[in-house]
Amino acid sequence: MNINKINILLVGFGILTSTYASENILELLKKYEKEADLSKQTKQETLGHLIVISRKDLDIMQAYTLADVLKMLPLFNFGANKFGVESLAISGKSIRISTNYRLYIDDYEVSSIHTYSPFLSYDRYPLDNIDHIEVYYSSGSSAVSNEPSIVIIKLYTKNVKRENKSKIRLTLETKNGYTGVLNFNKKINKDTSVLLTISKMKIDFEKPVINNNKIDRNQDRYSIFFKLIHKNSNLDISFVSVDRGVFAGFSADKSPDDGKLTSKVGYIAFTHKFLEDKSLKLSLSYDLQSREIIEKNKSSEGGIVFLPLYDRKNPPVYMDEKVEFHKYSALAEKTFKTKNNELLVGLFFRDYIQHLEKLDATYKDGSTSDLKNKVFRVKNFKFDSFYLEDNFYIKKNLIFNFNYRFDHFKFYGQSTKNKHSFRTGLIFKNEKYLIKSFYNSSYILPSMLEIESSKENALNPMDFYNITFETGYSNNKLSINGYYGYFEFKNSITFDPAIFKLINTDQKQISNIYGLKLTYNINLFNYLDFSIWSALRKTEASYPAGAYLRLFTEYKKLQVYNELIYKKGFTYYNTLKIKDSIMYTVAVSYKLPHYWRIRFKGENILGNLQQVPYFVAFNNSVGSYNAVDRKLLLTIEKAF
Amino acid sequence: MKKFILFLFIAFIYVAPVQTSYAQDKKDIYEVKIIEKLVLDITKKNMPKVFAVLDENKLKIYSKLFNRVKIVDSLHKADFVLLQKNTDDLEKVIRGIVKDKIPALVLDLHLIRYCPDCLGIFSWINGRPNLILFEEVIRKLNIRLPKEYDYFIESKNYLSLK
Repeated sequence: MNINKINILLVGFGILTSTYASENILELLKKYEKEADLSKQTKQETLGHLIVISRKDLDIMQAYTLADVLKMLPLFNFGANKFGVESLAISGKSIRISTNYRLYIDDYEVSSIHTYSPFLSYDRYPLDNIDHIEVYYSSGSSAVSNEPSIVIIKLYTKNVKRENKSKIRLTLETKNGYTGVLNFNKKINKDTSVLLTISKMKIDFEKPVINNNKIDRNQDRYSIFFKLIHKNSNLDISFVSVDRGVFAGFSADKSPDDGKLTSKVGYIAFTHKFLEDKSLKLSLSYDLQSREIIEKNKSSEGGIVFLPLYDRKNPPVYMDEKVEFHKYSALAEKTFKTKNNELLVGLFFRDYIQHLEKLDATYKDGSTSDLKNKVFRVKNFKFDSFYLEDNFYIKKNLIFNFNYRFDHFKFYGQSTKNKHSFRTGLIFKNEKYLIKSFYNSSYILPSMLEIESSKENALNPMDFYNITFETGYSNNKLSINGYYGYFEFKNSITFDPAIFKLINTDQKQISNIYGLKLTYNINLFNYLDFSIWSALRKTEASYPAGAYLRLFTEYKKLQVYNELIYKKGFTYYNTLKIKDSIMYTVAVSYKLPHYWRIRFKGENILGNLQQVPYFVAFNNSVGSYNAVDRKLLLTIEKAF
Repeated sequence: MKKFILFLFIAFIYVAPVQTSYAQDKKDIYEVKIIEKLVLDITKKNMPKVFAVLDENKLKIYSKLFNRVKIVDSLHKADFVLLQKNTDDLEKVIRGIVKDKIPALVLDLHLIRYCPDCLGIFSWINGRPNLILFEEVIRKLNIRLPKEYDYFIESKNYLSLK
């Protein structure tokens, strides 16, 4: 039996042996791929604690949507919130509409204008136009993000020069879901290229039963992404449309009788880089977002707790809200490089406009009302920033980082406010060792939605400071990184059950987060990724700790991916015991002649599925539903 | 306030000096190492001569980084050919490759359709680097390659070369 046959046999166990001596042609090719990875051009390692999911990882993982990547992110939990929108939450914190995360496609921020959460439209965003993903765990770096936030997720689009082939993909799922995608790449000439991706998806999810009723979060989704690059100019046009079941929605018993949530978001952005070294960047953009939520729930089940409409004695039993948002923005950034210094200076102007098209409600007593002109809305919001980021090279491998941002903003109905953010860091990095530490003092703005749901139609920003520390060691075989983060939040925004409104709370919220990540190249065909993390919090509303073990295998035409995710159980509201969860995912693909590829994936096929707990104020009960589904996917791809 | 921050921005643009450093990219080093090793293993010569039809930038990088092969300006002197740029005399070069039985590697996937007798491709396909050597051409040119290249050998029928 020759070595190749032994290797093929061992594939089933996910382990392959390498028979090659050092620096053979395959090893050189692997090193070339690693060094040529586009993340080497985009990542700003000195600017934060960073995880990169490379093109090769995405390919072997069969990560078709953003959710496939977010579900395994260390230090976080991921699952559907009460609207069925799959969202991130820091370990231990509840999964809800969060204002802490920002999502970018290339350098363009695509989060919701109304809620700041990107996940309503992008939780299952297809990744067919994406080359790699970078997740920055520390906030405050202007070079990475110019919006106040805690975690930044950056999706970098494919480089047409490296594609050379367009692609179509068809994925069929158990539970009747499917995806069809066309990804078209064309290098028109030396200076001009076009990337176009069109997709149609239908995703069916398990329907949990709450209050004797199945609640639904099935999605119908379309997306179009177009990018034209000509010399130093980019034109990006994007459109995403999602129709989904409203899931638990605003219903008091977490179980609406009927409901639908529609979201349409799009933007057009033009960027030009000036000067020979492309160090001056100007960008102009326009966003249009619209959302409609229709929901029905009987008064005997508590009706609908939509805070701006809610009346405890006469709750709404039907609501239909349609709202449109516009965003105009202009950005100018200049980078200055000297032998020992890199300085980025930027200006960013944004104008947001909200237009409430419809807000109809029917109440318990049968009365109906058109509330369009009666409820408070943040009709506009202006936000201007000046920021600078400096990296001073004390020595070749030792960098001092300083970041300052001045924000000047005005919400409709409130006075103008100014906020300052600071960040300093020290980074040591050489071929083997890495030490990074940052101190960051910043804030998170209340979203328009939060202000509209607040006691006095005004909320203060949530201030926070954090100290983070990372240390690492790497060689050709092994890379190991340890992470610690201390987060302290003031003026947190919380729900006051006495008045059914949001308020700022004086209570400090503190999180301590620990993480360890290890990557080991077993041989030329296999690499292992292991991570373990824990968060210390006073109360736990999601898994407080977790770990994963992932094995990537690639041999000739075959790719195999094995993933084990563990989450440590916890007790919710002192009554509901959520057990430990271990989930196993496997993905196998094989390259066929003439650029065909067949792929098979079993998601969470073994083990206990992760749970999202919920509290029902209506009857003072608690329960939980599956955070993810168990499903099989079959995919056919053709490059042409 | 807007005017003030606009002033600060413009002031920074004028005050700070600009200097850019050009460090040799590691990816270029590995790219050249791969090609150099392939040329040496195929030609089995000491300092083989390579005729390279490359764009200006690539030619500059390869000329700087090649240690064990030599770039020549005539196809007839060459032991190996690299094709990356579509030039007016591409057809002539390809005829020469076939006539003189010179092994040639295509560095841009789109060129392979013009050169079915080329030895193989080293190019990005769907975002990942690919090295593919055609078994029919290896046989035809009577090339004997070390075992480590088995991983990259494919039949031309396996790919759509159109």
